[in-house]
Amino acid sequence: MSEPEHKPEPGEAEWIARAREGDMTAFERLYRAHVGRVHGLCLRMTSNPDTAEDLTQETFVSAWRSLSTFEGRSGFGTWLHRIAVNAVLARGRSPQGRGEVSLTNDDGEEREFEMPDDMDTATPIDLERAIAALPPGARDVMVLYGVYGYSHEEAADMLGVAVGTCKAQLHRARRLLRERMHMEAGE
Amino acid sequence: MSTIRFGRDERERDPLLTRVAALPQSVEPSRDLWSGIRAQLEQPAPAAGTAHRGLSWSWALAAGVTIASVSVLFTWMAVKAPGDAPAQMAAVSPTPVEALQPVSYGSYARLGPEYVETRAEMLEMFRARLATLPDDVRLRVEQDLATIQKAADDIDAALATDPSSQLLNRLLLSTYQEELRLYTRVAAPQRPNHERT
Repeated sequence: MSEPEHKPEPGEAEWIARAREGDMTAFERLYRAHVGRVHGLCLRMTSNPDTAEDLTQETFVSAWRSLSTFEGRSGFGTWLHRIAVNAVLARGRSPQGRGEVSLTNDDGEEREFEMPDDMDTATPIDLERAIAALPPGARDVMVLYGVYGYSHEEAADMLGVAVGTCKAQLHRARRLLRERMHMEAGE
Repeated sequence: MSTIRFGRDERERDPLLTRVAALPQSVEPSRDLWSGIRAQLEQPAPAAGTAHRGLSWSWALAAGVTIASVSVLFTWMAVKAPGDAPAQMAAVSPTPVEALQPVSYGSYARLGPEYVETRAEMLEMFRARLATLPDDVRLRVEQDLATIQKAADDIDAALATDPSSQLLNRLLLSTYQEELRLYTRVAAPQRPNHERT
C-alpha cells in the first residue's frame, strides 16, 4: 500500500499553534501540506472537479474558523478530512448539490451509474473511473476505507452511519467493482 | 491516538482493495485555491455574533428534537393502549397526513438503500394503520409527524449556513431516525386489549 499513513510534516505542530494565533502564513503552510489529500477526498466523493475544488476551499475556510476546537487527539489531516466529509455530505443535501445529480432513480432506489465494460484492471485511471461510477453510499465507504485507510468505525463515524451499514456498503462496492472489472474475489 | 490503521485485514488479503489502497491519496487541484481561501479568511469573520447565534440555534434545534422525541413517546403510549390511556384532544383541527409540510430528504440516499426501502415500506403501513385510528389518536400522530418534519426542515436550513457542523448533521440523522421510529410504532401490529398485560 503506497501511503498507509499520512505522516505529519516536520514542524506541523508549530504551524498549527501559530495558525491558531492568527498567523495566516502558518495556515498557508498547512494548506500546502494537506490540500492534495483534502482535494483527493472531495474529488473522489463527488466525482465533480469543480465541486471538489469548491469543497476544498470550504474545508480550509471552515478549518481556519474552527482551529480553536482542534484538540490534537487525531491528526490534523484526519481532522481536515472530517470537515471535508461533512462539507461533501452537506453539499449533497443542499439545493445546490441536489441539482447536480440525482442519487436515486424514479422508484427512490439508489442509482448505479453507467460505466464502460472494457475496464483495464491494471490501470489506476480505470480503477478511479470505476470507483467514481459506484453509487454514492458505496463510493464514500470505498474512498474512506479503501483509499484513505480509515477503519470501519472511523468511516462510519465520519459518514454518520452505523458500522454495519459501512461494512455492507463496502461489500456492495467490492462486488460492483469486481463485476465491472472482471476480477477474482480473492477472499 | 492514531486514527489511520492498517493491519492484516481484508485490505491486505483482497487484491482489489490492495489496488484501491495503492491509488494516490493526494490529488492536487487544477489551480491554486489558496488565493480564494485567503480572500475568504480576510473577510470580516462572522465571529462572535454568528457563533453565538449558531450556538443558540443549535440548542434550539436540539430542544426541538427532544420535544419531538417526548411527543412521539406519548404517541406510542396512545396508539399502544388507547383504552387504558385516552389521548388528550388537541385544540386544532385534524390535518390529513398527505397535506403535512413536505421535507427535503436529500440525504436519505446517503443513509443507504436499506433505509430508503424500509422507510417506504413503513410509510405505506403507517398510512394504512393511521386511517384506522380514532380521530384523537390520529390527530396526535399527525401533530408529532409535523413536529419531526419541521425539525428536519429547520436543521436542513441551518446546515445550509453551517454545513460543517457535526452537531447539526447528527441532529438531522437523529430526526430521520425519529421519523422512522414513529412510523414503526404506529404501523406495528396491535394485540387485542385482552392480551395486554
